[in-house]
Amino acid sequence: MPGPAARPPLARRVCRALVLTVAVLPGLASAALPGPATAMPPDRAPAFEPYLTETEGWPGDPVVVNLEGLPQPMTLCRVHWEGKEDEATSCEGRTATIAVPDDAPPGPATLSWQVEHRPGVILNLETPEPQPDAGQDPDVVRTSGKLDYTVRGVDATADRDEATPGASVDVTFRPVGGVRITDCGVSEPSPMRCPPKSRSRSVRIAVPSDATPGGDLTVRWQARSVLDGETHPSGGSITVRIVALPPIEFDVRGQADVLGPGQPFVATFVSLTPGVTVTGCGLTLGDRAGCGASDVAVVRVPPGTPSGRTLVIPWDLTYTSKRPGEEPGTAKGELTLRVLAEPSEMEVSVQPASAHPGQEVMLTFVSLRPRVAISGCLVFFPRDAGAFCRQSSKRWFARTRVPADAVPGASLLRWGVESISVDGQVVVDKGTFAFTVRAHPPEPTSGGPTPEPSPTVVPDPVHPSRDRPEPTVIPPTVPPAPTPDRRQPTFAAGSDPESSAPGQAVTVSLAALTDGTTITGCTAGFRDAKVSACRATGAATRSARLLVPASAEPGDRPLDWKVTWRDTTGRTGEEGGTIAYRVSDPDRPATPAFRVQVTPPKAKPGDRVTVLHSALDDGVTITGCHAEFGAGGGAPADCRNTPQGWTADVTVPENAPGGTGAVLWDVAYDRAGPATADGFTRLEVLPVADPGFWSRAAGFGGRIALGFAALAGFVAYRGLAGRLRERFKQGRARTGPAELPEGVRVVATTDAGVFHTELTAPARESRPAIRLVPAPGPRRITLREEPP
Amino acid sequence: MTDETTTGTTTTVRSVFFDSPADAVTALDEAVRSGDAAGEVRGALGRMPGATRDAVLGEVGKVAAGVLELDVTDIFRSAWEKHAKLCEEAIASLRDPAGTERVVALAAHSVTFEQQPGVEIHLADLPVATVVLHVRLDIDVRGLLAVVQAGRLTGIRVGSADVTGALEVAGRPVIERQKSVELSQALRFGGGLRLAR
Repeated sequence: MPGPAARPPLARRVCRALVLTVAVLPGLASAALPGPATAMPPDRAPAFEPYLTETEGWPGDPVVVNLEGLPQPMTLCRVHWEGKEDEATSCEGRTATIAVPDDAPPGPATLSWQVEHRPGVILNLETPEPQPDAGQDPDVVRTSGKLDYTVRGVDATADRDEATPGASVDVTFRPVGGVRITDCGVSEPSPMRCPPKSRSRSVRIAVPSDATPGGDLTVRWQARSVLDGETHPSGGSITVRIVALPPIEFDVRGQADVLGPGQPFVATFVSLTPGVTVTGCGLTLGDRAGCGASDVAVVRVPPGTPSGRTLVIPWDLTYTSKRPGEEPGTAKGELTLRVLAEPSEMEVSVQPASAHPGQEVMLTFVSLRPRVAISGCLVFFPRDAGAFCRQSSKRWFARTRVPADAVPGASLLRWGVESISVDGQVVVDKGTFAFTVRAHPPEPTSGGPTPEPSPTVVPDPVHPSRDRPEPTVIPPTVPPAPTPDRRQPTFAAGSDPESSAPGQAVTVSLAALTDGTTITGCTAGFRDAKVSACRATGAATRSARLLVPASAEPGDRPLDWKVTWRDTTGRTGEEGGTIAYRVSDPDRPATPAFRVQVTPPKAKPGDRVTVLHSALDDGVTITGCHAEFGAGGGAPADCRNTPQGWTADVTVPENAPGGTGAVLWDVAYDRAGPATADGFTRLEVLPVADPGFWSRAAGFGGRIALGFAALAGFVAYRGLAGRLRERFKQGRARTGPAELPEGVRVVATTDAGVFHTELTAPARESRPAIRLVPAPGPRRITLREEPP
Repeated sequence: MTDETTTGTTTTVRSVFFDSPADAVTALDEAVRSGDAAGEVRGALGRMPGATRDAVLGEVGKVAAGVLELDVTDIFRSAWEKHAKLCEEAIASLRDPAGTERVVALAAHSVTFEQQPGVEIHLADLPVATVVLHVRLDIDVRGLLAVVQAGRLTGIRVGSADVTGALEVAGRPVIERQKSVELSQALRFGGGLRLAR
């Protein structure tokens, strides 16, 4: 007899009955079960989609939610605005009506609806949605959704979330929902209305200058808008965070990190903060040296400073500020400078001793180091493009010109020479002369110049370019095609004679200065003229002979050269360059060049040096000369004719400042008639510690002039000499920070014009070392007419 | 060219290729930096700091864009000075003491403009490198009614031109573009272009 355990349990029987019911219902449903429950779609999901009768409206407007198609019977039906669940509205029938909140901000809004219903039958058990709410009545199905709505009115936004005291904040009003703004403005922090009848619906408010950083600024705004004759107000507030003014920044920098004893140290003071102006500044090295009008201060490294010492130079400045609420203040800091004595072994002569703007100045270089050959050099006046050197059989020299609008007075003439020793070591010499720019161009001379005892009053010698149009400017020598490869051999190109008349012969000599380099071939020729092949004069030297084109005009004419080379490693290459060859005017011979040797080239105050004069040009005979210490304080010394040449003994004055000095000289000579020339030659005055330097520096033009001159040189040094220094750095153990990248400025210009050394305005735009010049190039225009 | 003509400014060669000067600078800067020109410029400035070379390259594009600011009126002037019928009418107009305007209908014709402007990079006054551009415009002029008076071309009543332009930088194509130009608005005649004396 079956026991209770053998009978199907009651629950199982109920389930079977339900399953059976479900199985037969599809066939019965349409015929036997009328009413809403039987109208449910097979997928069981509600087949209705609530919608709004109006999707836009003003605050306060009623919004009707149409719930047609809602499954019945409903146990719950309500709608509410997003974020306002507590203010839900129940449905009435198949619709629900809810008002747009009065405080609803203009713009997009969301209306939520929720419906609960109890379906009579369950047709699709596999459909997960909607599901009975767990914990609720399992027979109740809850479903919900969202509807988009736009609240009409005016919206206002600020152009920034944060602002500093005194800054401006723009508040812009935007119509929402097709309305038209009729009025707008702000009431706080200060009342302001939008410009009437303006298309710009915005106002600009100022953050109070006394606003506390870290706090908030509340901007309250109001607006009115209209649509279909119905006007509504809008309003709201915007919060702007008050932040502190950015910290004040100054750029205080020195001209260099390394200087020698006795050299001037120049520092510039610049405010990097808009609205903040430097009103005073200075450096303290012993005494305090205040800035000039250009916010530049100059101190001099004490001449007795031991090489290798690092100086800490305090700086200070005062400033004023136009930034709101900011009081004048002070700032201070320190600059460091390493003192390194760099003895130079280069004899440098400058001819003439002074020149007027536009006049040519020639520098002659002679290396005093044994077994060291000059490989290149550069000379320049501040703010001028300068000139590279060229070589002849007798010397290295460079011709440059005083900038055409240079201000008369003291200017700087900078030079730098790169040499290479027999073992491949690169040696660098550089320095600066205080060069006198004369006020007025000299009067043309009709005959041979007359010798004068004083070099400062000697009539200017006949200059090849005088009374002629300015010749085409070509740098005297272009360095070989630059390359970052340090192993690239270096070549030197020279030409003899240094200048020739049209039709005369010129010999171009090319030499490899890098040990182990063999020139395998070379050519040379005047540009746009016949090119001549070189002939070998040694493993590392070649020469070519060519003629100055008969049609060449007096002046500088480019002479191009090119070499092919091979080194001991089998590497080969090609290098080239250009010599600015001076085509002379047979009717106006150039001033002859003189070499003036000062022995010894370095001397202390009180020492006596010998000055030996010799002519470098054939056919020139010296007939007399004088020499004196260039900074004043010494008496002119007459030359005497000795077996070695014309010699004068010059005593370095006891009060001569340490550093680069010069021996001024003038020469009377004969070359188809008497004439004179003058110039000066470098003399290194060994520094002697002396606190009274400034009183003696007046011989150079005074402390102010020196300061400004140093500054002008500094400015040019940063912008122009960087390229030379960059070359020099490659061969130096000591390298400072690259200065050019920070200060470099490449200026596109159609006409660079002529810039001058304006000592009182050193920050003025300089003549760029690198210029980009638009070239129109050849053009061709053709017309094709169709036959009539 | 619409931007220039509507604003009353000059229609330039640049506007054939680029809608704005800024677009020209951007495109040419990219062309200069990415092409062979960059290598040439960098090589010419090889021993200078990298920042210097980059700064130079950064400026070349700007200058090159400026080179293209050539008034297209100059191109048409040079072409029409050779146009037989136009010149005949200009000569005839000189003999007209009343100075009557003559409206001349010109058959379709074409103008080809080629130019190789460049940007020279000068180091210490010496050109060390040149970035060369090549501009070519093929212009087909249609339906032109020109106004000639007293030997001068004083205006265009109606007429248009289809311009096909090609621009290269350092031998590398940068852009090719076609534009239609309403000549009565694009050209500036001022006191007239002299065709006959």
